[in-house]
Amino acid sequence: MLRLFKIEYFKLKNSKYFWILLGLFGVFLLAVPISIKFFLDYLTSIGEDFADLGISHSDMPFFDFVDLWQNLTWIYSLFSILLGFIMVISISNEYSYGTVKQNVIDGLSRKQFLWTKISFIIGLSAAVSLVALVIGLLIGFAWSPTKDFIFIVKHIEFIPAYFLHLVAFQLFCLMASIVIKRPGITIALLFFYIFMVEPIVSTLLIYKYKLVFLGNVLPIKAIGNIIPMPWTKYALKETQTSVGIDDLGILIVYIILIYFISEWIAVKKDLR
Amino acid sequence: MPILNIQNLHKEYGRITAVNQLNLTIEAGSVFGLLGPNGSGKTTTLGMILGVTNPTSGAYSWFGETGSHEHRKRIGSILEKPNFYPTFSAYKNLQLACLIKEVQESRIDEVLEQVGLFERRHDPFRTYSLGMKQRLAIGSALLANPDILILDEPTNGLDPKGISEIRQLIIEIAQSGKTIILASHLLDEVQKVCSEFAILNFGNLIHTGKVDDGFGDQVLIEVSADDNLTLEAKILGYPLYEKHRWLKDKIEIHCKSNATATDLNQYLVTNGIYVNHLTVIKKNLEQQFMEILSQNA
Repeated sequence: MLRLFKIEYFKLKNSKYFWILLGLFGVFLLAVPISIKFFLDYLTSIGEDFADLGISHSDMPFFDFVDLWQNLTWIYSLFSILLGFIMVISISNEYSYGTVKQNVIDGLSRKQFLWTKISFIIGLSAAVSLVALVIGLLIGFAWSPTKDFIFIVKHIEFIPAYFLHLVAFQLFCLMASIVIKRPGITIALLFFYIFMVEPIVSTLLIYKYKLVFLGNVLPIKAIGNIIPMPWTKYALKETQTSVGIDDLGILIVYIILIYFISEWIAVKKDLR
Repeated sequence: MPILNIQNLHKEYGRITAVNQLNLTIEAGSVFGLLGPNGSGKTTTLGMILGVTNPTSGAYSWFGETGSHEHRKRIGSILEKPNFYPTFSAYKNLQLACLIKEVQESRIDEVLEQVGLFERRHDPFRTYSLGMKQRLAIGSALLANPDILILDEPTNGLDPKGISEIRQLIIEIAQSGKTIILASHLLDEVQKVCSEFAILNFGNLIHTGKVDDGFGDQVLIEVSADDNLTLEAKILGYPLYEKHRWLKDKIEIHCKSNATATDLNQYLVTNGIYVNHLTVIKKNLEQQFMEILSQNA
C-alpha cells in the first residue's frame, strides 16, 4: 500500500497542476477563517451603530468551540472540488497518455493501479483533515471564549466526518474520470453536474415533489450531507448540529458503491 | 524450459475473433518472431500475455507459473507506441518505472547510455523525436535487466537511420542471451534477428518454424556463362536437375536437395562450360511467408 502511495506521489510531485491546485486549496484553508474573523469584527463594529440590525458577535459564535468544528469543516467542504480536480487530471492524463497501459506492462496489476490513486486519496484526505484539526485548534484557542476540554472535543467528530467527505468526493471524481477518460470533458461534466444538474434535481425532489429522502441521497448531496449546513441555527431555525448516523450510513454505502463501480471498470475493461 | 506457454488463448471483440484458440510455446534463449499482416492479432496476443487485454478464454504461463503482474516486473516490454509522461524527463520516467518494477535506480544511467539518451536525459519526453521515444521505450524495457524482452513493432514509424539503430540494439541484446519476442509485419526485420517464427493470420496460428535458409526439398542455384544458350542446353543433362527458368541474363536452376554449387560447377566444367556467376539462392522469409499465406488463404 505504501509503495502504491509512493508511485502516485512521485507522479504528482513532479506535476505542476498538483502544486497549483494544492497551493490554491492551502490558501483557502488559511484565508477562510481569517476573512471570516475580519468580517465578523466588521459586523460587530457596525452592529454597535445599528443595534436593531440584530447581528452581533455573540449572535454568530463562529469560532466558539462546539460550533467551530461544524462551521469550519462545512466551509472547507465547499473547496473539495480543488482536490477532486487533482484526481480528475491525474487519472484522465494516464488514460490519454496511455501511461496506465505502460504501468500495467511494467508490473502493476490493474487493481493495484487503481489503488495507487485510492491510497493517495486516503493519504491526502488524512493530511488535509489533520491540517483542518490544527487550524481549528489554533483559531479556537485564539478566538473562542470557551476553552474547556469538554467543549473542544464535543463535536470534534466533524473532523473524521470531513475526512470521509473528502475521500468520498475524490472517489466520485475518480469514478467520473475512469468512466469519461478525457480531462477537459470530465471537468466540464463534473462542473455541470455538481453545480447545475444535481442542485436543481435535488431541490425539485425535496421541495416540489416532497421526495425528501430521494433528494438527499443523490451522490453529491449525500457526500455533502455528512457535514450539515450550520448557518440556519443562527437564524434560530432547527438545525442538525452533529453527524447523523443515517447520513454516515448513506455516505459509507456510496464509498463502497463508487469503489466497486470504479474497480469493475478499471479491471474488467481492456486498456486501449 | 519454456519461458512462455500459451494455451487456447482466445479473444473476441463482439462478433470479431481477434485471436482464435492460440497455442504457442517459446523456449528460453530463442529470438522469436511473431509475424502477420496488420490486424492479424499480434498486438492483441501480446496485450493478453501482458495483462492489458482480458482474454475471452484460455491461459498463459510465464516461467512455468500462471501469469501475473509479478512476472511482468521481470519482463521488459514495449507495446505499440512508447507511452510515457510527456512533461517528465527520460530520467524521471525511468525513476517511476523503477518504483513500479522495484529495481534500484542505479540502473537508470546505465540503460540511458545503452540506448544513447544519456545526454538528453533531463529534457522533457515530449521534446524527443520519435526515434528517441522508441529508444527510451527500449531502455525502459531493459531497466530490470529482464531475461525476456517483448518488442511490438519496435521500428514502426522510424526513419532508416532510426530503424538500423534499433535493429543493431536488438541484435546486441539477443547476443547477450536474452529471450526476445519480436512482433512485426516487416519480414526482413524478423529475418535479420530471429531464429524462430510464427505466423498469425485473422487470429489463427498458421505456421511455426525455424527461420531457415534452405528451400525445403529443393536447392536453387543461379548461374550464368558467357554463352547462356549453350549453358541452358547443358544443364538439362545435369543428374540432379529438376527445372529451370530465365532471369534476365542468368538462369535459375531448381535442383534436387543433395545438389551443391561445387557439384554443379564440376559437372559444367566436365561439359566444357566455364561459368561467370554461380550462387546458391537462400530462400528468404518473404518468399516463405507469401507461400504460407497463400497455402492458407
